[in-house]
Amino acid sequence: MLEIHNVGKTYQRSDGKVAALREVTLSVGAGEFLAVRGPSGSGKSTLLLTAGALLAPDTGSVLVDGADAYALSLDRRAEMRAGKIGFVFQQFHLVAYLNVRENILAPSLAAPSEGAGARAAELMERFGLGGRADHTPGELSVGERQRVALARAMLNRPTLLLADEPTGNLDEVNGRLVLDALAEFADAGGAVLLVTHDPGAAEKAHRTAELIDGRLVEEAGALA
Amino acid sequence: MTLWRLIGKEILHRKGNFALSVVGVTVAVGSLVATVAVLKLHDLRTGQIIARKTAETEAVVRQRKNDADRRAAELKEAYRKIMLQFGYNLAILPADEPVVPYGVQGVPTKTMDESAVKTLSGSGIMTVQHLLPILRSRQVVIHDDQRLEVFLVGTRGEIPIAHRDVKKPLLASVGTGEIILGADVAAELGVDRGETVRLIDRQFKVAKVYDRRGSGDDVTAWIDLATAQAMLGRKGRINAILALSCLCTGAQLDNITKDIVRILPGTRVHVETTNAIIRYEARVRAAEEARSQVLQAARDGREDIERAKAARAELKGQIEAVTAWLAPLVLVVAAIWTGLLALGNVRDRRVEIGVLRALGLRSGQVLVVFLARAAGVGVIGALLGYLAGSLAAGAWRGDPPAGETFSPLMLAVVVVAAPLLSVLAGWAPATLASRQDPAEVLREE
Repeated sequence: MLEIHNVGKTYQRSDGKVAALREVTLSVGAGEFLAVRGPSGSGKSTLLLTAGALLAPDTGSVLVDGADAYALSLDRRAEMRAGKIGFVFQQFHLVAYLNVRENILAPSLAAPSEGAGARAAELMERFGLGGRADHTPGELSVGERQRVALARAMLNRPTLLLADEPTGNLDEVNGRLVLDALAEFADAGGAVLLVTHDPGAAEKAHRTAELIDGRLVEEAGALA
Repeated sequence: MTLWRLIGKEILHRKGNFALSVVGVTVAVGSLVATVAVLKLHDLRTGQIIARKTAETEAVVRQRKNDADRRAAELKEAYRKIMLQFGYNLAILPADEPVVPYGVQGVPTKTMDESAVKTLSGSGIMTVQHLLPILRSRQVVIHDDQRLEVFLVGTRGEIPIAHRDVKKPLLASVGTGEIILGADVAAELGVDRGETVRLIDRQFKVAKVYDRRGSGDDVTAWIDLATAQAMLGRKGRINAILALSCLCTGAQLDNITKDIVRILPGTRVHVETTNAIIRYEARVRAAEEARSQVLQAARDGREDIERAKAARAELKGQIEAVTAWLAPLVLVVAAIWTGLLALGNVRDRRVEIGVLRALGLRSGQVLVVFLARAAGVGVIGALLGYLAGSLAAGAWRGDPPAGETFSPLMLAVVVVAAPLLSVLAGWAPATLASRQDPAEVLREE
């Protein structure tokens, strides 16, 4: 599903170069849930964006379902994100003026499909949002917003789910609900890459790794 | 879910930004439409003013022409009456004939050859008519025991002018052995038509008695010219050729006189001037004045119209001069205004764009989202601007009504041009949005 080989990424800042990722290599196969832990500034978000075909690395390669993401054109890469990758962010990033149903359907703007409406209804039901279809994000609780974000990430039946601190703004109950959903996605054959600074958030993962100063230095379980 | 729904909901969500953008386009389109409409209304108003002035001028000219025609008709009638009263007004005399004896109805002393009348009638002269050769003297007419000294005129009747239609003669010809008497002569002698009178040594039958003419004719008797020449021992000679010229005056009469003297050397022309001519001349002057007034009224009207046209053209020029710098300024300001608002919209939606890009939207789709919004601003602004501009122009001008400013072509132009300009103004912000790096935004968030 996801293969990252020797990926390096350096940012140029006013006070000099900062290496966000250093020769990172990992893989997440179908049915796997990998949690990458690390403190703030360790390069977790950079790793997630690079894995999500959004941030080209300086070195190394990223393969999604065997396709080298950064060898593709920008439009093909966008198609890859629309069809194969789902994102869940800590800040949810829902579109404020769209209601729940429309937010969940947002990925269909990039990859329209006839079954999108039914799929959205199914996801709303699954995440307990059936009665909230016409509500805007401002009218939802924090937990509901993250569930909407989860449903949105799963609309196009991606093979890879990337989650950036998805429980960071949630209470314990909602956090567990989200992690359960990620685990279920992996159990259903999907690949999940979770980055978090919270050790508790990684409990549901099949494997864990730690990212310190851009290096993947520790792993519980075997990395490919 | 479609891009159009996304665009529509975003517009409803950020109504303020969209409304301000629409206001910018509306003001620009409204200003231009109002300017064009004002110019069009100006032209319509100018047309109305010119048409009204033209109608007024035509009415005045028509009125004065009617006056002139009436006076001309009166003059024609007067001419006819004068002609009846006046008779011959020219006497062509031998050059050495003294003026005074003839002028006081005296008896001419000089003669000329009768052939002169033939020469004149065959000359092609256009300014005289009714040529009458006469031999004139003072004689006594006797009836019973009544004797009366009269002017005796021997005449052979009027000589047709070769190049003219034959006119009814002013004086009938007199048959041999006949005499025609003036009204006073017949009255004094107590003679009537059919009776006889004696003249010198011959008897003449009264062929006709003229009605009173109020002229020397009333004391005149007419007999056949040849008889008169024989009785007076002046065979082949005449004293004068009487003629009727046009009722002309001044320089025209001088020209007639010169014509005649040129044709008949050794003659001179005596012009009878009477009160009738003076009255006639006054009427001619009045008629000419009336005709002059017609021409003057037409001239005044034309000048008035030209002045109005010039004033209106100057005013239009001033409006166009203002428009020449105002229109581009309004367009530039509107473009900057909508461009800045579009840029603000892009900034407001920075994270949204990043997320949508992360979800797989291509940069081209992001470009469409913003350009379609700009086009929407342009279309709505164009429609509102056209309406506002037309109403404003109509309200400002008042008359003619604003409905006359409606132009489907103008509407089509603004509905096409305003969205294009709006899209151009929003192009840079839209491009900025489409090229935004989603990773950078998401990392910062």
